[in-house]
Amino acid sequence: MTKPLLELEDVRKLYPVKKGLIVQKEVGTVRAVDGVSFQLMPGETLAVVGESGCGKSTTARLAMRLIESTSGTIRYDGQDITKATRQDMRRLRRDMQIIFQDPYSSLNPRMTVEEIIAEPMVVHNVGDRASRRDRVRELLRLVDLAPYHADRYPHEFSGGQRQRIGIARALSVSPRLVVCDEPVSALDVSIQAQIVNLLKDLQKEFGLTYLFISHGLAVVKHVSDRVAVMYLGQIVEIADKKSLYDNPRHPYTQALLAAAPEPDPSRRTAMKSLGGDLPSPLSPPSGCRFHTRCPLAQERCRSEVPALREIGAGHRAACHFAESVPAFDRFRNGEGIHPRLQERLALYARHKAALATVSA
Amino acid sequence: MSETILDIRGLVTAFNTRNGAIRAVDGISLSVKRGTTLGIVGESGSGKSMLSLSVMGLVPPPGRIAEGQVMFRGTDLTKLPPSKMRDLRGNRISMIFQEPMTSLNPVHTVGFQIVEALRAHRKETAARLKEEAIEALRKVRIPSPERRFDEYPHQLSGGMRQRVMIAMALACKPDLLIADEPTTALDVTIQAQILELLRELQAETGMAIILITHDLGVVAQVADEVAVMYAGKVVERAPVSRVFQDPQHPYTIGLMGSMPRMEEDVDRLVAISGVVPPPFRLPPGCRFNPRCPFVGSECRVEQPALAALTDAHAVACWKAPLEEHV
Repeated sequence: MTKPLLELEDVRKLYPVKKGLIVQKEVGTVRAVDGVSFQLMPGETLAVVGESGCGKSTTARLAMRLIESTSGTIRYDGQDITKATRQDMRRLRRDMQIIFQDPYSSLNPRMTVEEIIAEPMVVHNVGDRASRRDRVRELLRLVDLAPYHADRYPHEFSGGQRQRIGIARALSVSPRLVVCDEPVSALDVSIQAQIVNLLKDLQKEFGLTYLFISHGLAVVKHVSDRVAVMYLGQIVEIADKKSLYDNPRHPYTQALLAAAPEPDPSRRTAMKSLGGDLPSPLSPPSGCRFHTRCPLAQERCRSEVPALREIGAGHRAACHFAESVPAFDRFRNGEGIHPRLQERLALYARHKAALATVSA
Repeated sequence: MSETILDIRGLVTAFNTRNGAIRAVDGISLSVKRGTTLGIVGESGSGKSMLSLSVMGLVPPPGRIAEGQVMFRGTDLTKLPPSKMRDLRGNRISMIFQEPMTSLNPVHTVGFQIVEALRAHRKETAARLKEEAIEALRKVRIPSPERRFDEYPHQLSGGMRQRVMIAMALACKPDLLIADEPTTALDVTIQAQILELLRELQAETGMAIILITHDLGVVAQVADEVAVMYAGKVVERAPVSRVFQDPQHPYTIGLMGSMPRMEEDVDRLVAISGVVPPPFRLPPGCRFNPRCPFVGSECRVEQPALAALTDAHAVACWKAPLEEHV
């Protein structure tokens, strides 16, 4: 039995809300992350999905201890890092790197690409000047940039290229765990696909473990092994990719799946929208936090908090009625991509591959 | 046959820069009929937003409309004096933008802002205008509109703000609504609500909609016709079902392949290699040729014109129809 690389146990992050200029009174608490537990196995990709304000990015930052948790245990490679000293944490961070959402604000505009990519190595005392130089060139090649890009500045690059630089920086110290915080959300569609493919290739090559944060379920389906769905600071469902998409048991997961616009004009009526807005995390609803928007809510949901419980092999959901929630049939009523389009895509891929071998 | 609301003919929007004249919109012809939605798809730098600003007469200087016509119900908007254009804008043609927070004024109540839009085009009493504004808020399904009228933008959620923007845009019952990435900044469940709302409002009012987006999923859900833009040009135009079943331009196919899909398990996405070229460094020949897997020698020399493949389907590609030529 392999040990999890990262393990969160009942982790909470509460932000006090204060009022008053001189004498500050605590008037409430924002429960940003409220009792999150999961395990991340080596070489695996766990995706954390949810809408803005659900606490997914906070969870990612908590996992790396970039922010301090209020309570709970975070174990990295078996070691509780919530109590680790600064020096220990510094050493550990070599092992855990992060890729940020916005490639425009996460690269220092006054540093060259070489300086940016080499910085983690400098911080962690890896190699000497010459070996770092070589490593930067090697990393640039890995992320499909050219060695001569090393002397340029971030503003000379497009969004996709900047994200590649961010990935090269994260990989420079050969981490085991990479937290990807919405790495493709700010990119154009065609560039998104390039970066998603690159992340998958790199994972295969270096056996990386990814904690992948995203607001979209479609991208996640391509990169993850397991998926956790968050709502108002809590995990409402966590399962293998296959069981989550084929048999979502939490009404919120179903709503997220249903809300994603399907790229097929012949299936328009399928789009059913969830009413209402996300409630404030300052005063989350009583009972099940989703009951205010849930189409299946009953009396019990208003008063009793549902536990995140096992409902199948590796499949956990936090719903009183997880077993009786109607099956979700979004993908069963259609036959997927139109065969004609499928052929086209295959033709495109073949030609692209042929062209790549000619130029190589 | 329903009336053609907007007919863009050979529109060129140019910017004079140190690097020479840049054509952000380069010879575009498109039209949209009453009660229908034209989806314009393209990535950043494709010129889709500049196209909508050109229609609105809001091209930022030093940009200018260099060639072509924008016929709105028979009137050429490019020839209209600014005062006449101002009468149309927000009245007969409205626009909603991507970021509902930055397009609303934070120091005024939403009610004030809607009334302001109405007052620009109507001479009515304040009480009457307020009534109309509340009606507009009710139309976009904002709960308790009387109360919301007196609230400030920061008191509303992102989805509510976008509803307010739509209410403002539709207050004068325009013939044409230009929606520039109206749901990009919103969460999926809220996006679904807003798209649903636009569909319902269109059915009620019969307005024409130009929906600008980079999301093929959104287009598939709401558009009747689709135009795919690349580097300032329309590369493919067809009814929505055609585009999604029989895409002909390699760029359109690449976009379809780049989209992660939930109903399919594909190991690798069919990505488009390379990046959109900057407008001052466009390649000779077809602008997509450096990224195109089907590229041939002719593609590097001459630019293909947008040519009809069937009645409704037009493609700008030397290799179209695709299967016959590759």
